[in-house]
Amino acid sequence: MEKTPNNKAWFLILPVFIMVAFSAIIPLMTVVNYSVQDIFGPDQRVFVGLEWFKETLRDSELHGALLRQFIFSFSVLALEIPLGIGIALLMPKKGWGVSASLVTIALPLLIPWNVVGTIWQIFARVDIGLGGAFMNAMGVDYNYTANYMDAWFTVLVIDLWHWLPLVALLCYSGLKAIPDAFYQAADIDGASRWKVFRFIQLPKLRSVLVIAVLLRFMDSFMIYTEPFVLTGGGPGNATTFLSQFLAQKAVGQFDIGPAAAFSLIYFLIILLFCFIFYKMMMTVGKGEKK
Amino acid sequence: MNKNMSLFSKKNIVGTASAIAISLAGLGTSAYAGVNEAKKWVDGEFKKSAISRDAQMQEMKWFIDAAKPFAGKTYSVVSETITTHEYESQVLTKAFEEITGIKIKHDLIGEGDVIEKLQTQMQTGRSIYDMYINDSDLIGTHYRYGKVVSLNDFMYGEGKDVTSPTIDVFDYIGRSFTTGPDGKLYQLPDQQFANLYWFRADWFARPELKRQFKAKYGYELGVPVNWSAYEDIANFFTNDVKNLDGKKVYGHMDYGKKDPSLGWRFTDAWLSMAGAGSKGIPNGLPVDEWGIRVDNCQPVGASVERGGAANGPAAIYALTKYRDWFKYAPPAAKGMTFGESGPVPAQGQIAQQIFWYTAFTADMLKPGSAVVNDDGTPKWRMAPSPHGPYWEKGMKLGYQDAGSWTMLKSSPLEGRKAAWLYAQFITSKTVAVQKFLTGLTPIRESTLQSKHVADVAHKLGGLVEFYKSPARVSWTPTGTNVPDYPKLAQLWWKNVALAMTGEQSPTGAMNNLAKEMDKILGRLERVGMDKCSPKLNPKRSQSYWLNQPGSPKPKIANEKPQGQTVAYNDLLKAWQEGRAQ
Repeated sequence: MEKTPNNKAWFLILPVFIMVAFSAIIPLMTVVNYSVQDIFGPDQRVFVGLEWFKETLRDSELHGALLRQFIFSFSVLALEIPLGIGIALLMPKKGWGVSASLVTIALPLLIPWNVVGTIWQIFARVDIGLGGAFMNAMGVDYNYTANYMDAWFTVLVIDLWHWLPLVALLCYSGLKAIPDAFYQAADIDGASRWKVFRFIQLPKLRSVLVIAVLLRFMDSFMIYTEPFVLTGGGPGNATTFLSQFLAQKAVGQFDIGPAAAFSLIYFLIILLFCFIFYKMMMTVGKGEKK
Repeated sequence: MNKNMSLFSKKNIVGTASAIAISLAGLGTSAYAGVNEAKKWVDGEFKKSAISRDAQMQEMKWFIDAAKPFAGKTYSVVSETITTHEYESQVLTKAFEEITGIKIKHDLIGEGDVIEKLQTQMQTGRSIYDMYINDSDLIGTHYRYGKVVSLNDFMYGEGKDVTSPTIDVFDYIGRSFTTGPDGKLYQLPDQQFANLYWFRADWFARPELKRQFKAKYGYELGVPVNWSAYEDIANFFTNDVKNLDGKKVYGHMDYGKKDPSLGWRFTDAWLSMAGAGSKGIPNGLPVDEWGIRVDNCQPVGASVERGGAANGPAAIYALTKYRDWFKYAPPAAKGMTFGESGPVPAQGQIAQQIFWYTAFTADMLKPGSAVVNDDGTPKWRMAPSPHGPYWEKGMKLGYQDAGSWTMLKSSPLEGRKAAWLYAQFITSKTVAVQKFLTGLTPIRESTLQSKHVADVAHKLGGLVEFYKSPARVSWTPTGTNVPDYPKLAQLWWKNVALAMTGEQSPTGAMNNLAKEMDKILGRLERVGMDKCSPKLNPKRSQSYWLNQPGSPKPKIANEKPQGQTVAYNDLLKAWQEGRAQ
């Protein structure tokens, strides 16, 4: 039977369209409007066209922040994904240990970003912090406020401490979803522990891992609070990432025009990567069906 | 003198006050609600005052009457969080409400957040607070943008009915900081602090240390007059003395975290202490301590190429010394902010600090502290800041700021009037002495001259002596050369932070800073400001400007002359005689 098209159905999406317009499109258009002006006050503004976009794209500080952002995000993935899988594999699968390990592992996830930064800022201090003093006592000349590598190391450790549990929990849920029949079959075939991991667990974790990679990449790409509290982006520019660069312009300096242009460029970068990851996710899904 | 200012002559004020007093006396006390409450506060919390009890009660009666149209309503004001403002928010709002019936919500937030709120209201034109207490550093911004109400205009215009006849503007010691180039008052001081040299007088007096220092450096261990002596003393305590009474000691303390407060460390006074600007009080004319040159009142450039001094030899020297002296400070200092580093000297390991804010005085006097004697007197003293080799007599020598009441045109008139009453109340002569004793941030000459303050002066490590001295005029806040404080101040900390780690040399960092400052000035010129808009000078070679008399100054051959020190008592004498040093 042939279906009759009913265009009235479009009205059903009108509420969604209005909500999105108010929450996203109108603010975005406001930012676009700001990005082509030099604004010092409601009555003190001039139209500057694409001046801020050209300036932002030529800005060496932005290039540095973008490079650091990519290095940081890929380092986070390189560390957190394998470690998350490892922890999930080691977690107990039954008995009281399941609840105990789940609660313990999830604890850092409950702590707000700024508190995480403050905890580590004090913990890693060389004069009063347990961690910093311990490093110095071990003969390591550690000082995250003065040394680039120490600052990077500390920011990475903070991110691991805070977000590794999320990856581990996702992987754990993926492992728990694998039917026992797969393990029984592997047992009958006499498969080694490695082969069980390589040919059963890892393929079955694929979808969960794509979500973990996506979440951790996006989150780490927007990192702001932890380095802001810990190092303020220093020493020098060592831990200055894109969000800090933007916040300094928009909130610190109230330089709305350049900050708006920068926001749009930042938004486009994130959009591009969202698209890449979305395509990857779709490809992975298709692969599984085959 | 401006016409409106002339109305504030002492003669006029006395006359008006007398007239009001007579009329108040005629009305009798029973007609006023809040009189009993006023008596309670005057006889209790505000017992210590610079004026008599009768004068206090008369002042309070005026507030009760003027507040009637606003009684029962709530208004909001905001300030940063320091002891003085905590006292206002917790105690004085209560007193004000009981006496006048006006409820004030006095919010306490970070200093940066206050500026953010103020900036938001200025940029959007939408009221957030009825009045703000923010630093007088923004005087050049307020004056030029035309968003702030001139208090002269207000007091004689729409706010005449809510302006106390006993306000006595001339009694405010920081009024020059809040006066624009047009001679009008734009802000009313609420609390004031300076930036001085701080040292452990007990250690400096130890004979064995004095002997040891003289043997090594050839002059007496004392209060350093110049940066050479400061550096020698820093080196002496950190590398020669090393330990005192079983504790590791350091000859220097500072802060270096990449944070907005790192900028304050520089824009407050550091370049002027080194000697980068021009002669002239309060800020150096034509070049101020930010390195900004003005022509009349129009900023014309910050870089040497445009006649400024932000990247001149003295500025580069100042940044170099700031960076290098961290080797004498505790290792954690590099990672600290202004707020974190402030209390460190009170822990008892610091011998001296070149750039110490008297706002921390109350913290330094807490009983049981490592820097307080058993009898409550301090082991430390504050003294005039030493100066760098480019400094000349007649230049600003340090920083002093007045957190001041600011009224924006975009706030509703009713709210402004009610908040103005509160502002006058908490800075009134009735309240000022007790507020000083609580927060140690004086604003009135009458407070400084009062017996109650004289009684505690010996416990305050030189604070009262400094403020009583006419020499205090050499310590000033950011002046009117700076046309947009929020935008320009942000450029400093990010550039200084790069020099801290060697990512940029001090020359590279200051060149970049000067270039960025010029760019902001150019943008302000393009957009136009209400008054005294910037107008950039054309670029010329550095040598052209360095060969002109005054600032920017050419590099001097010997940037580390012989160290000079003086005995603390001689300095006190200098203060008493009205000399800066």
